[in-house]
Amino acid sequence: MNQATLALSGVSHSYGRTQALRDVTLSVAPGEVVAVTGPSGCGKSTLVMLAAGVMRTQTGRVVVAGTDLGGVDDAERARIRRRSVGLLLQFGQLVPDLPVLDNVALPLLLDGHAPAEARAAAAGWLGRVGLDVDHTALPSQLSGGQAQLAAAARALIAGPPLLLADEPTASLDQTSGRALLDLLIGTTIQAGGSVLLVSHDNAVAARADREVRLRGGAIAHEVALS
Amino acid sequence: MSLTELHLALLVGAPRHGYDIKQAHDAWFPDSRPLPFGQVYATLGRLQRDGLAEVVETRVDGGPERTVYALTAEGAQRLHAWLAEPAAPTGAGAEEIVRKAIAALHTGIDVQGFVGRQRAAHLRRMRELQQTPPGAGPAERLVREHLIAHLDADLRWLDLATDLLPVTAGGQPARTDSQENDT
Repeated sequence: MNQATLALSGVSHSYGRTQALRDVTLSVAPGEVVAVTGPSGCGKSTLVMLAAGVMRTQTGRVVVAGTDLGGVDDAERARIRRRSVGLLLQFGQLVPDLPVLDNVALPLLLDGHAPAEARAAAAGWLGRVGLDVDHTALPSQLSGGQAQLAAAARALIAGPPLLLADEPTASLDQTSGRALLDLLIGTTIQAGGSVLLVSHDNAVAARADREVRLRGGAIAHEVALS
Repeated sequence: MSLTELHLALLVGAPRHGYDIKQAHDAWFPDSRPLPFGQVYATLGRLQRDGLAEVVETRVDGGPERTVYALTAEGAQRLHAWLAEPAAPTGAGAEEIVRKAIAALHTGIDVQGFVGRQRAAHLRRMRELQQTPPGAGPAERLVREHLIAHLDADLRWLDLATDLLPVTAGGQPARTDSQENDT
């Protein structure tokens, strides 16, 4: 059996006295799309931040592409995040002072690629996501939907084996949202990667091979959809 | 026919006579048409004939005679089998999903399992409907979107039901003979 791209085992996480995750164990295999669903405050976003290595694991293990994130220093975690994880959040979270082209190129620039090469790749990705804007435009000059497409391009540009998408279509209309999901899932799965979709939207969950439902920070059920 | 299984669900926990069953049904489904007594007694008679329920007591408390029915092992098995199957994800005329969800939540029978199976059935159907065949025109797309919206509404309602009718940690029913929830 292939090694899981993402494996959480016995993960619990608290913010002060508030427990956000309770003993969560889940894995996402290469080529698999898993949806984590549940009501607001059920721990979905905490799970994404831990899987992305943005937050440190408190209890349990988070293994991304074979590396236990709890066993490496901050610099190594940042490197894994750049190379192995594509992260797409609800509102894009583009860097406000960077032109859209550099925003998309950022994972490659931070990873030491030549600027010209990184920007050429970014221009290619802007085309693939269907974002036809001036490459020198700042994020403030883009609509919410355009910013989300740019963020999707940024999440995909390094060809990460793990794509984490937290409410990726919430700022888009239905048609654009579905097209974006097609692109995110199609691109990642074709390259043999894995997708973890986090959403409270049933139409997004329906795209997954498996649903993991969280309630009160714990897994309520896990069901196969394909 | 799910009214049969619903009667079995109403017998979970304690033996009941027809009047109790009618009252409990009307409390579970307060906006539905009240269950006619005639239908309750006819259904109980059928359940007894088919070995799904049995008469455990006949009370005469100065008033009319009251026959108390209890679930048989076979009846419990039939109820579990009914709840083990998700309602068809039709997205319209959703009576069956409402009946099953309310019965599962009130009896506490494998609630998480029920919710998981029902969500899986609905999500699979949504996924099929999202894949509009090539060449489909706007009319076909609209029909599909209509069904998807209904399936989504079912799932949102199911979320609400599981929030409003919590089952206690031990899987015991949060039984509501009246409208009160004491969990």
